Amino acid sequence: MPALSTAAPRRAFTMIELLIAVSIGTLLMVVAFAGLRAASSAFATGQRLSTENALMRAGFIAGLDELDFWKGCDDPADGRVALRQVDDSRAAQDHPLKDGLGQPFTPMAEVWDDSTELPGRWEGDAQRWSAHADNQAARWRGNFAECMDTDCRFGRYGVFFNQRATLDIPAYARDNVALPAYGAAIAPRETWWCGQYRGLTSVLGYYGLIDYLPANAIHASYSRFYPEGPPAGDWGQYVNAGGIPVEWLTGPWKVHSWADSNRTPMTRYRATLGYAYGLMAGPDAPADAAALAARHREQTTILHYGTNGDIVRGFIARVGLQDRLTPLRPSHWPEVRTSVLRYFSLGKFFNLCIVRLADPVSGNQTQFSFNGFGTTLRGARQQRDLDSYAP
Amino acid sequence: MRPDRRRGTVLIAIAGICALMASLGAAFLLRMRSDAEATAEVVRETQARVMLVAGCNYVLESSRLGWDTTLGANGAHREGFGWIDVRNGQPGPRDQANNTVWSDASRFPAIGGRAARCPMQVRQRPPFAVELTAAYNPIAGPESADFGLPLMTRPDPRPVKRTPTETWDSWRQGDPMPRPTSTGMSWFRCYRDSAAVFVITCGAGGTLGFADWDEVVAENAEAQFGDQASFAAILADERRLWYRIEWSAAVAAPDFHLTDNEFGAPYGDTPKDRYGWSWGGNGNTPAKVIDNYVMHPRNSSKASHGRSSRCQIHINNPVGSVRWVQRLETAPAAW
Repeated sequence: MPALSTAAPRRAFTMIELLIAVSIGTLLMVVAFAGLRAASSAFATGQRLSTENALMRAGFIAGLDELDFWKGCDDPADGRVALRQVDDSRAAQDHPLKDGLGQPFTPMAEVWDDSTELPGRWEGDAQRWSAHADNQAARWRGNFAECMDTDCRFGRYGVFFNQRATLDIPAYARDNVALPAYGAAIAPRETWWCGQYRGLTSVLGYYGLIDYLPANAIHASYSRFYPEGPPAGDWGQYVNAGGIPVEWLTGPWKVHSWADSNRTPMTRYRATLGYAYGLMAGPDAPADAAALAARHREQTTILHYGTNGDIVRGFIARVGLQDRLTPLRPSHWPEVRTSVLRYFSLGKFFNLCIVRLADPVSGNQTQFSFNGFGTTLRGARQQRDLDSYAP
Repeated sequence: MRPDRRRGTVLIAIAGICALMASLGAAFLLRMRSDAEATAEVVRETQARVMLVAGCNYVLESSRLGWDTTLGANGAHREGFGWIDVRNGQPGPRDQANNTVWSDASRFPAIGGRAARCPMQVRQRPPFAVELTAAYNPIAGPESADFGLPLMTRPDPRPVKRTPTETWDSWRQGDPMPRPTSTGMSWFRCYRDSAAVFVITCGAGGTLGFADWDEVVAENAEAQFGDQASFAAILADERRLWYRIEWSAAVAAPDFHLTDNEFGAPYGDTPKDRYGWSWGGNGNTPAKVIDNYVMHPRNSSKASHGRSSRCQIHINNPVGSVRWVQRLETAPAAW
């Protein structure tokens, strides 16, 4: 019988071995869990960053899309037609277009369609606007040096270049020119340019006027003279001694810069040196047609002395179209907004796109902006067939 | 056997965690890859829109320039006078002798002719290339005897001269070979719809601006794509945008200060207008009641007190302007 001592010794861990093994195992588990936790956290962060990036991309593309299609400003399919309203509150006055004043997306035919005061319609043909030798009508023929309170020492340009096909010249005007043989009633030689200018102003407002006119257009035209001054309330047709409506030269609606106080006809650069004309599509744009029409015909001082932060902020709130891309997002998702500001200043069109992203979890806000190039107002109106007249 | 099982448990747990980490890593990589693909689409969109600017510049410049084949009498360059000729209103461009700059009515720039196709790779060296040196004549520092002296001792700018044997003609022509990293990225096409209206097609992708395989075949360019299937694959990955634009001969007016009505009588002597109002003038500054023409020099930049003899940064633009731009939702009938 074999002795018990010959049996193999029982295999077991000592306490020390066990402790070491457990420690190493625990360490491994802790490291593995820490790694898992880090990986999980990195994954969650990556996921969140990825979502933010996707939203930023969506905001960027939405900005480009808005630059090209203007649907944030005008989209009848979505009920956005505020910029098509007609302000008819001035129709009773002696306004050249009896149907009132339009906004940048008002159909041309709705306001401007052969009236007594302003015969003709909008003519967009490039040939018609080409000021070559055989097309004198497309040239501006006013007096560039004629100021607000001119004494007409260079003559009365308004008798040749006027928006009216026939003109009654008051006695004081007849007496005030070197050659008083014009008579009491004349037919100005060129009316087309002044008519187009007045019509565009009445339909579109000043942002649209600048958009539609050639780049070198001079901003003034001539209208009729009032023997006894303008009719009550018709300040829009109040003219200087030469026949330029004063709305081009002074007052809140002027197409003119106060920078040098000259109050003469100007081109779009000079007229916007420090000032801006905006397209009112922002949240603070007036809803009322008359107030909106007025806003579309006023300049805002944004860079010159006389301005301040409130003025600029107010302008941005009126002009800055804002679109929330994710109104129904999960509450922990970032919110992305795209703003597009369209205005004209310093002789340039600004199409400022701003993409903002706000993270409700971290509180971080990210923003980037760019000035884009795309469809112009006239292009956007052509997309909607707003410039054509019924055959 | 129990100790073996115990060891295995730890291994299995760690292996499981590692697998979990690996799958998280894989998911992360996949997400990043899909992000990169989505970003690539945005890049293509952006690249295509950049082509709109290039297309507009092409229309502007080719209204006058680029039609020079041979020099005319007395070394005169052939020059156009606009898409609608500013002299007589005819469709152009027409040269000094009023001849159209094109002879083939089936191709651009003839109205309705086949579109100009413009792949926009970067040349190794453009024509008439000049060095990018910012300051050819830096003013010397205090260590130099010429300290502070603006000595114009070196010509500015200087041509890029690749080889000692460079000639005038080789410099004028540049090196038209495309830079490899810039090929197959973007292009535009220009179709003349009417005298001054153009369809600009903007593309980001590798089709080089060919509209379809038929056009590739018509221009004997099959070798550039291999076969129709390859072209179709490239086409499927491409972004295309269509715009209509109108050219106008109008340029920015140099009017910043053609008039100056700041001369006038001092306050008190101010002439009154017909309503009896006096405008301007406060005893120190003159009234602004008299029509005056004054031409300030184009490069004037100084404003004296009370005067506005400043001038804009004068942008000489001899090639017209783009009057309007209209994005088209789909491809037009002809482009």
